[in-house]
Amino acid sequence: MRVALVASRIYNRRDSQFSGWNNRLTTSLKSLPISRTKWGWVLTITALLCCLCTVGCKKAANINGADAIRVGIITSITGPEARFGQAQKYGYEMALNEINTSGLLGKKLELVYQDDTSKAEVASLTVEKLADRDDIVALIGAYSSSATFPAASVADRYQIPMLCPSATTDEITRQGYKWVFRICAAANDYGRTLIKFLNEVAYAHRLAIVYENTQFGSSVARAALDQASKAAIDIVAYEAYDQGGTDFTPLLTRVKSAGPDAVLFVSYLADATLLMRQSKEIDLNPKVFTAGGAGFSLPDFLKGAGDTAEYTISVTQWTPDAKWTGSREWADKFRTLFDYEPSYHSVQAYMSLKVLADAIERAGSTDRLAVRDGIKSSSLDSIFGPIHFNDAGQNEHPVAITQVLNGKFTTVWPSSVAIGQPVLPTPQWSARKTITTGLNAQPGVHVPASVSGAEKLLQTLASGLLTGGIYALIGIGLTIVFGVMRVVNFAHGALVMVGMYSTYFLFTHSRLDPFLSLIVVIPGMFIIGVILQRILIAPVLRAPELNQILLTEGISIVLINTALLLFTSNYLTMTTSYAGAAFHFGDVSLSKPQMGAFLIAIIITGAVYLFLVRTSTGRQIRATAQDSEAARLLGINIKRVQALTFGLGVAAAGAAGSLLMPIYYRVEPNAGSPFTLKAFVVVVLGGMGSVTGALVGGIVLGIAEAMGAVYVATGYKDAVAFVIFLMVLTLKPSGLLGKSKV
Amino acid sequence: MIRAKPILLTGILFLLIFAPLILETRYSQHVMILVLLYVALGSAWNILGGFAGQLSLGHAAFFGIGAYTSAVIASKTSLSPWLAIVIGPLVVLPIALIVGWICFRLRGPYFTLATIAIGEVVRLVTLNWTSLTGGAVGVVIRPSVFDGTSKLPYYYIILIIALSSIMLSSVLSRRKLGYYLMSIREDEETAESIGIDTTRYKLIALALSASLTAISGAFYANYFLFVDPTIVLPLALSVEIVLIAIIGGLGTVPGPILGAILLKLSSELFRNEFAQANLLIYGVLLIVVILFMPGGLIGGVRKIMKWGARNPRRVSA
Amino acid sequence: MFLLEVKNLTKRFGGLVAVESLSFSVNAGETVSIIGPNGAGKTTVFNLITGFYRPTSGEIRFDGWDLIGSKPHKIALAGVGRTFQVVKPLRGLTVFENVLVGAFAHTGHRSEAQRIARDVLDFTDLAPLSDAIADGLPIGMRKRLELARSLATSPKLVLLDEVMSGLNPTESKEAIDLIRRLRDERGISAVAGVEHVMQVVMSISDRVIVLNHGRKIAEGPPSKVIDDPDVIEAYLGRVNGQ
Repeated sequence: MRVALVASRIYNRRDSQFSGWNNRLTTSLKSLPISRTKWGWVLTITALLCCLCTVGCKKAANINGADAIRVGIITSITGPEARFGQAQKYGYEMALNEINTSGLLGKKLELVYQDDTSKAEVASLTVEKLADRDDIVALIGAYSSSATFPAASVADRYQIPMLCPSATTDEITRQGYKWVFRICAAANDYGRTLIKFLNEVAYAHRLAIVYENTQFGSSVARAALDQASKAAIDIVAYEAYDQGGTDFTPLLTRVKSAGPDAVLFVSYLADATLLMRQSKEIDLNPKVFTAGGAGFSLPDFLKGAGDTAEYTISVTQWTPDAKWTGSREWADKFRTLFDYEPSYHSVQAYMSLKVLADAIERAGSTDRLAVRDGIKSSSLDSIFGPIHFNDAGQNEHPVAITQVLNGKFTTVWPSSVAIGQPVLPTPQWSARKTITTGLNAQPGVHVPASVSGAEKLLQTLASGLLTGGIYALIGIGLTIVFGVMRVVNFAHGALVMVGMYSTYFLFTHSRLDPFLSLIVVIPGMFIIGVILQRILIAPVLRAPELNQILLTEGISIVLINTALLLFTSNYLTMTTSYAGAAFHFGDVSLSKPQMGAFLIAIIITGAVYLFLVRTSTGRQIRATAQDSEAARLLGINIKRVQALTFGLGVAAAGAAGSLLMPIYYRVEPNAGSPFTLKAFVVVVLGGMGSVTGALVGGIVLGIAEAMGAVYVATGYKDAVAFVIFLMVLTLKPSGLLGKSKV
Repeated sequence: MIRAKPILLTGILFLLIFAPLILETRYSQHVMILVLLYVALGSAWNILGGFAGQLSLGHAAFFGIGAYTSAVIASKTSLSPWLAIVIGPLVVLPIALIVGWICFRLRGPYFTLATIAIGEVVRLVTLNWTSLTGGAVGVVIRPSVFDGTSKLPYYYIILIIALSSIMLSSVLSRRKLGYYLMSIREDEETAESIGIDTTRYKLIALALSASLTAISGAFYANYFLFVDPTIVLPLALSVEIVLIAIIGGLGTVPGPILGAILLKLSSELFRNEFAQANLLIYGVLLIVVILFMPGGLIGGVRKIMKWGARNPRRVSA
Repeated sequence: MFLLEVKNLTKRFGGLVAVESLSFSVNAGETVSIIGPNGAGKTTVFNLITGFYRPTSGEIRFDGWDLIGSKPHKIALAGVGRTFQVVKPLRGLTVFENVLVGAFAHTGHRSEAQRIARDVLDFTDLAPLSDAIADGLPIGMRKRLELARSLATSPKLVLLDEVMSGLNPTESKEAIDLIRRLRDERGISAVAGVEHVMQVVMSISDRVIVLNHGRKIAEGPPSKVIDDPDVIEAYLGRVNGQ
């Protein structure tokens, strides 16, 4: 009896409040013979029906007129590879205009663009979607190897002709496909040409291969590895790294200690820039730096790597100055049309469409089989060299070798297309003040500077320590937020990225030195942090922790994609006066920007520590971290402390971003993302919520990663960090120091 | 009262069986397959994350292992990669037990972070164990049993997998195991105090969840016919699986279904309509849902219904 | 033979001695109160018996079994039920589901578990609240729900931690009544942890054990203990001092 009374007391208030609602809802509910608790199902069914309808409508929208010849173009309009998608789009548009001035089989050619969002899954889906449309004659795409490889298998299965403009993975033309053709040279050609050059022109004997662990990188590296064994070139190092690396010093130390006389880098732009600059910093002096195209053959590389780009040898699919029919005129026309420096991506796209149009013209029909046979029998002399497909569908495109001379790509080999002589061996970094010309390599053995075991260890420890300082600063931001609010902030890396962009713009627009930019970035980021906390974090403090994690993940997605919209996915690179400079102690070299960043990171860490220990606000923060309930009872304004702490955490992340800029040289929307996971590792190593712990954790992580990169296979470098992380979590969850509070 | 639910469910089943015959373009069938795949993944995660409250952000590892089992069978043996639907869970189970051994002694954010780390370790090992996995290049799988041009067989296979996951969740939610898992989610100490072997039941939940995820992974490899570490093992996949369960409604049976439909369908639509801004909209939506519907869409609807349905009954008691 | 027998039980946390050389026993069908001020070690004793803490030294035997080193769930299944000082309802579940979970301890069948749950809900007068979400209940109801959930596991002994704290006079009276009925109607032994010397508690206790700073300072029938000079000094002295 009493219980019933209590029940009505608990619920009555709510009832009266919503009684109007109630009555209406209950009546409508009663008329429906559905169990009241199963409303989720009804919602689900409704959604399912909507789903089917939408999909059905998509089908209706596919029907189009037949007044034009349509070609499906798959490229990366969004996502990390959008910049290359844009380059391809210029090529397609240029070819389209040329074709449509005269028309094709009396009709207009029309391009149907599909965005693969830089994802393989989506690329395959779009192939399917386009293959389903009867009005699409053929496909061209995608941009990257990883998107093209699976997409090609779909095209072959659905029997629609597909031209691959730029994917280099050998596997694409090794599957026995009958409908897939590739315009560009494959990874294997890169490897063969490079090794031939190293063997016959550069007289290299000891090659170190460093490649990004992606489809493209590993394909080219593997091809070079295979060819080298045939050419009696020793591979002294074969190192994979995860794309978007933050510090290559340990990796390059490992390479240096292997004593190569030639180095081969296979990397995209961001890493290409950093690899060259850090090669200078640690004074890596092989006889020649070579590269497998990609990042090293783009105009932006010259800008990003600055003077360190000089003398770099690279394979390239095409250069504006190549001696192919009309390539110079084409390049000029392209520049006037788009005000954009043509890269080989544009040419490949342009040529793919031209080849396709030529095939349709010759086939005299838009029948897919006829068009495929038309492509198969192509025989053209073009700005991209002669076009002719072998039985596997591969255009036997010769690749050329360029060298950066006086800040420009110059074709130096093979002699049939060369317009200059290669400068070999590459001058040592220390002798680079004056530009050397016309020196040719002599046959003979290059004696690489030897590195003693002790020096190697010291170098590793030093670069690990320097990186660790930055990790510590990033970790501190995360740890104090966790200590006070018990929130694991997944947006931490994105906030580092915001700091990086801020510093970049302060440097380029106000000529403010990156280190000085902290004066602006720290307060700015602090305010951003306070606002974020007040509006978004505070409401979920009492929510389940997964909701908190996903909220911060949402913030991360929004920040990264806002940056994408504002600045595109292009790398923005900056060069300070001290870029690439280093202190040398024997064979151990310490990069000046890294030293500066390390010192400032330590100073900031110390300041944060003193703030927490010495000031009353700091003590309030610590008290809240210890026991927020007790702190509230003591009259501490918890909300203020929480906002303050989050501001502080975000400011630390931003400061770390600023300090990264002079080391990292470049920024793009995803530049901060790797730091989220690193920050987690740091914080767990040091014990969640502990500032001194974060310092220790950062340095331990930095050194562990460096040691891993130098003494363990580089590909497993990050695995080393995670394994340590898991071990600490399992064996000593309170962190290495065993403290769990600020 | 007429028993409406069985009639409704039979209706849906018929609809699902005949839908691909009505919407016969391969693209629409593909979208439906994708939605069902994520329904299966969301439901599988929900057993561990929603019912048992163990918030794993490492499920991509189980998915990837299932997918790579297919790839290895296809590239190293002459057997059909479809066998991975059976072998995949067997490969995943011992790994799941190790994961459980490491992670289940951890609580809250520590557990979640450990699962992220395990996911990353699996990804890095796959990426670097080139002789087995083909590394970053990935593996193209030849179509087996079906020729890969008709979507229908794939649709029905994933329909069966998805329905099995849902039925398992639905049966669980009404049985001892389901109640035990929910008790563990609500309070582990309480659960122990009433005789629940929390470690054992968490392991059972993990094993079920991981196996179902591996089966979905094996299906994916056979359907998509290509795997590489960036496709089947990224952290982003783990996050997406969790999002589906959260946005739909954590710990409810229809939640993951609703989440998968909305998320996968909207990302298809956004990609075409908003191009550059599609992920931005996705992020904003995520924040809005978390802030204003912490129980997911199902939770939101139930809350509204509760005002009307639950309380009057209580007063009359 | 005793149902529960504790011998020389000691628990140290670092340098702090929470329980020191404690011995006591409980007979089948007996209601025992452990009283002592906050921090006297009552909760630690309960956590030791139920396996949430591992004793530093000493013996705990239940129904002839050695409980040391057993996991909490094993001890629960052996017949030791408990409630928590800070109540821990399974928040998202209904009252009925909370009890149902307990009822699954000895059966896998839903219908059987439901039967047990209904029986326990009737016994504890919670039946009218069956469909309420546990999170929304007032403190008195939550304490009662804890006991009901524990009873659903068919224990021989229940340990009731801080059974009276936070209850208003009416609620206290109802709780006392329920404990009395445990013994009288179901023959279940109970050990009730109580912070203050309360006449009502004394009235239902067969025996009272008084703890102070982890040591037993008195034991015996309620009427005797209340006159014990040590208890008066340790306990009532404290009251006078306030």
